Amino acid sequence: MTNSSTNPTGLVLNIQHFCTHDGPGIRTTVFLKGCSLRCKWCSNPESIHPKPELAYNISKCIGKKQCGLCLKPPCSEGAFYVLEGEDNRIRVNWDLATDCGQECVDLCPTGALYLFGQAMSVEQVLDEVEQDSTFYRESGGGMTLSGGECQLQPDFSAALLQEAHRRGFNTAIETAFNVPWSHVEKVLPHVDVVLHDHKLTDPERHKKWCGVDNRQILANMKRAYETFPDKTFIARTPLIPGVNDDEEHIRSVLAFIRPYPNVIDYELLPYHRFGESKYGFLGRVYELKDFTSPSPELVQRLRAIIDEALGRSGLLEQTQEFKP
Amino acid sequence: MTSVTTPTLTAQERAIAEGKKSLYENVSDRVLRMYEAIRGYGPPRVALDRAVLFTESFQETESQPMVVRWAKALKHYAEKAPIAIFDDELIVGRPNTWLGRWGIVYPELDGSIMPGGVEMFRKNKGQAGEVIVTDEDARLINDVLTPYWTGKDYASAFHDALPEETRFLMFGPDPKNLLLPTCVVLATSNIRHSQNWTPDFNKILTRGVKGIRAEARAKLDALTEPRDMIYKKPFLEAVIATCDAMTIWSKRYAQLATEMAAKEQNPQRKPELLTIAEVCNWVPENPARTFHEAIQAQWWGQMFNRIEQTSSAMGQGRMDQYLLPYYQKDLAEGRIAPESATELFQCLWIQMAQCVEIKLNPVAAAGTEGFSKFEDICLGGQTTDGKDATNELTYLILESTRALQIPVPEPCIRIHANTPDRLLHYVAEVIKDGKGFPKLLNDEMVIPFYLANGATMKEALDWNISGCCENRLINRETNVTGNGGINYGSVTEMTFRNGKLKVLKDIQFGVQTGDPRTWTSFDQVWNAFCTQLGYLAKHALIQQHLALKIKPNYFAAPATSMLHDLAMEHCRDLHSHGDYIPGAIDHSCFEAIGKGTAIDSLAAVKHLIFDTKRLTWDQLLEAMEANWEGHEAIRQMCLNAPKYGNGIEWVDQIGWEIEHFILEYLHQHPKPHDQCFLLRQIPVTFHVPLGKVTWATPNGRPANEYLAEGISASHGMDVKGPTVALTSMAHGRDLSYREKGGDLINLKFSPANVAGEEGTRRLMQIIRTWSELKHWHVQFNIINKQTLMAAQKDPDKYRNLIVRIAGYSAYFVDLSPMQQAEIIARTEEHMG
Ligand code: SF4
Ligand code: SF4
Repeated sequence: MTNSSTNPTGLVLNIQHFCTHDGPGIRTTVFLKGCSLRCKWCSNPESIHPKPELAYNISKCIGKKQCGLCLKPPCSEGAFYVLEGEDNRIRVNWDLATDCGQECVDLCPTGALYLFGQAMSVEQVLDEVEQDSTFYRESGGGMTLSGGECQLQPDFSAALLQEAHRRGFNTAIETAFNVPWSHVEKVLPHVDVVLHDHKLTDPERHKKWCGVDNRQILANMKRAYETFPDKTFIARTPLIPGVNDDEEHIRSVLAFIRPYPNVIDYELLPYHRFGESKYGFLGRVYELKDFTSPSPELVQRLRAIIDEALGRSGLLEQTQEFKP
Repeated sequence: MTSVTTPTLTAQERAIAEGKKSLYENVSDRVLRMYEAIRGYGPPRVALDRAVLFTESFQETESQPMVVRWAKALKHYAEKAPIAIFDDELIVGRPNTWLGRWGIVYPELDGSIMPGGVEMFRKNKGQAGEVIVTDEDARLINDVLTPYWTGKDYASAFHDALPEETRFLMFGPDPKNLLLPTCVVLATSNIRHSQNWTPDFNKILTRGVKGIRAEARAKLDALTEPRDMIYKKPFLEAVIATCDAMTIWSKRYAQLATEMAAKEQNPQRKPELLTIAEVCNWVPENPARTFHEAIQAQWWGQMFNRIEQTSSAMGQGRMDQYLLPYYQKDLAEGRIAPESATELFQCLWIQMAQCVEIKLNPVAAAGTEGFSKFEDICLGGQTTDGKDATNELTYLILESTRALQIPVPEPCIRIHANTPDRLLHYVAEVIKDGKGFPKLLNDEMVIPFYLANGATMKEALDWNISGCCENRLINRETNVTGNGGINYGSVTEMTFRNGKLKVLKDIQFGVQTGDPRTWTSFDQVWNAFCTQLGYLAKHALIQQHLALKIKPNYFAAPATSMLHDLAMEHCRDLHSHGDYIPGAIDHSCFEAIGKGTAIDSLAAVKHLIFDTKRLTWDQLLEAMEANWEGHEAIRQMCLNAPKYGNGIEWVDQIGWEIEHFILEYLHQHPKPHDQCFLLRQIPVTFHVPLGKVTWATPNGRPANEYLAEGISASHGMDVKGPTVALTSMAHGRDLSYREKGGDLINLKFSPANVAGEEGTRRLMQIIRTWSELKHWHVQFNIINKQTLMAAQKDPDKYRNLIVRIAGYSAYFVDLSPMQQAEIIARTEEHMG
């Protein structure tokens, strides 16, 4: 969505303040819309499609009797309807609700109808990010780009990161690296900390669970580690029960990153279902309905393997009762 | 990304779940026994000995100068009041004869409405906020106190002397109504003798009352001017009598302890009683020699100030500073160890925890729910030469308060740029216990404030905390008169209802600023708002000037005044500060409550009627008039309109404009002698009763619901997290006036969000940033929502659960259902 190289605009999903798990310190995370993978466990399904899209949260709707504003123009006829004899709340015909834009959701007084994705300029994004700058100073935090896949909007991302640096903030990205190398080349020079996913090692299984195989991803990672020896890389695995929560996977990632001293850490992110409700809001189906979070014991055991491999005692993780 | 786990419990929640008596182990059996006895006693009871003895004395002294009458009453009390020492007590002296919570009533303050208050409390039996008033107590109040004080008390005199228009705004159309204020224009001079106060207790410790008495004596002997015989002599005589009274009272305790020791069979208790006797024989008459004597002397100082008057909030001063020499000396000479010092501190805290504020006026009671008492211990901060003042006592005091499940006293930390990380880390850990302690005040804000108001650098560096988020220069400030204030909710309603207030019978209270339907620009809305605001502000100042003028005829405070440098220098009682004591910094406070409600209402109107034109005036006004009933879609639009606290510049700017308007108004209407009115935005719990009288407002709030508190956003409306909330609040302030006083900020986190060492570090970073943003005050509620809801259902199990209200903490079960709901509704901040 680049319209000029000096002040490009991009498709932004959300700017989240006070993030504490997306890099060092207190951070502001900018979620960009659009992703080239289709991970079945994705907790941000609204971030995948590279266009603005309509969402609907039925629990907020106050129904036809009290409102019904979306049943009239300018909303497309038939896109919204009520089931007679039911709760009088609106239902969405997702096939007809394809053209819904800002003026449509603006009508909805409750925010039950809303839009994921908004075009924003670099300036707009950074102005909002900058509101937190006092907190970065104290905590060593800064801005993190996430997604979707932020490297799919390389010019916009590069411009955001550059501007963040110009305003004095630390920068980080969260990426899956499933993009052409030319994108990486544009983005990474402006990143201080690269948080990147090692989802699955085996190309076929990667394809099965994430929609595409991981050849490009692995090549990008190696090349990035080598091309940017001064950057800080942190590897991560979203721990999905029965998919990649086994010792073998952990050890293979450790083997992969071991030669590179600039990969300073390897984190495990246990699977959670926080994203599930959003599938419903978008009229999609959540496939992992029967999945549960991995047990704390398992997570602890796998983390111990990492600690050992990285030469840490693991004690740091535990909370200590402070005595003055 | 984080994983879901079972809820993290705070130390307080864990203690309750496990049925433990204290949060940590550093509490001796003695202290725990006393704690249990106090909690077992149940609701607080009115302590009437002081009222009865004061009344007896006042009947004898009617034509004498007020300050002398007060001193004589104190002496009469000291000689005659029943005294008691209970098992396990090491620090003694109380105004009652039971081991349990007590609240003194002060008939000279509001004796006229006391029968109404008694009735209210008798009806309230078994409900939150219950106060024990026995049949005998009721008889004393109705038959002994009320007959004498009716028509002689301050509250009724103040009411009668109010200009008609002001009285109308404060008490409504019935000229006889004194019990039920309107909550439109507010006053607190009629519910307490004094504004929050911090007496300079250190003078009792270092000089003894003997030293103060000698100073008064010498001054008295040196008086020669005829004028001084009228103005100064009574004060000095009163000081001498007050010093005598304190000595008499302590020596009676010494005598009692000696007698009890003689009869005591328990070989452990016997020497304790002998020590108590020795200590009480020596202090407060003489300078304290040991740590134990220093603590007992401090308590005598507190107690005598409480018997003298109520200020609703008694700051304890910079205890880690003035107690340090005694502690270090005893430590060096082997008289004490950190454990025994902790026990003495805890004995003092247990005494303080028994003292509650009982308001006989129903609105005052609602505004200070949970028997709010701001018994601040000021810790940390800087020395008078600008160095960090943290010392070993800072930690010891904080640690001694940490374990106990009592809502007072309250440790407060003065934070500054060089507050050591070690202290901040410990503070964050204590905050995570979940009792709302300690609260934090900001040197980086308060010191410039004092410099702008004429303090020297040395004085400014030595400021004290006093009250929920107020501060004091304890030897320069003289403002001991309760404050005036306004209800932003009323201002908002009057703006849109042409000066009328619906809950108050739709009577014309404010200015007729016109029918909003005729307004075609937001400027007209703003002008109407300012007109209403200015009108109420004017009357808030009028009532304040009246209070300042007439109060010296009703109150005096020799025990408090004799600890104040300027009062002693000029031989003037502090209650005469309305006439200005030379050299004083003499503010009066102007309270404004519900800022977030006003901002959001104006923002909703600007957005919906003018900017997007989504609503017409008819639609909005009709919906509000119907309290949104049948207009849910419109209410939803209002609720979803841009809100304060989310970093939206034009919305936060409205906050700035409101503040700027009031500050400019106060600046234009100063007090004499180049003194000013301070704007404070601190709700205590007044945002609940003030909301009750406010009809539906354009921010989507239904009629009667609480207003936003402090300078916080409306409940649950700041959805972007604490960083944005804090910066938004910072943008909504105007710091260019010396009239800019304290603001209150509440932040609420779930315990999981601040768990572990990482969570502690985050809290430290938030605190540092809060300080850099030049905020005045912050307090933290760290508690699981489930715990609060469980406590609503099972108050017995959770009877010791302490929550943060506004500048103070209280037992959750002591709060009304509405206030409990308000606490639950506060925005919970999340870390992503
Ligand atoms: S406009 Fe929104 S609230 Fe109204 S009926 Fe449609 S979805 Fe429901
Ligand atoms: S890479 Fe991330 S955003 Fe993209 S589909 Fe996978 S989990 Fe979702």
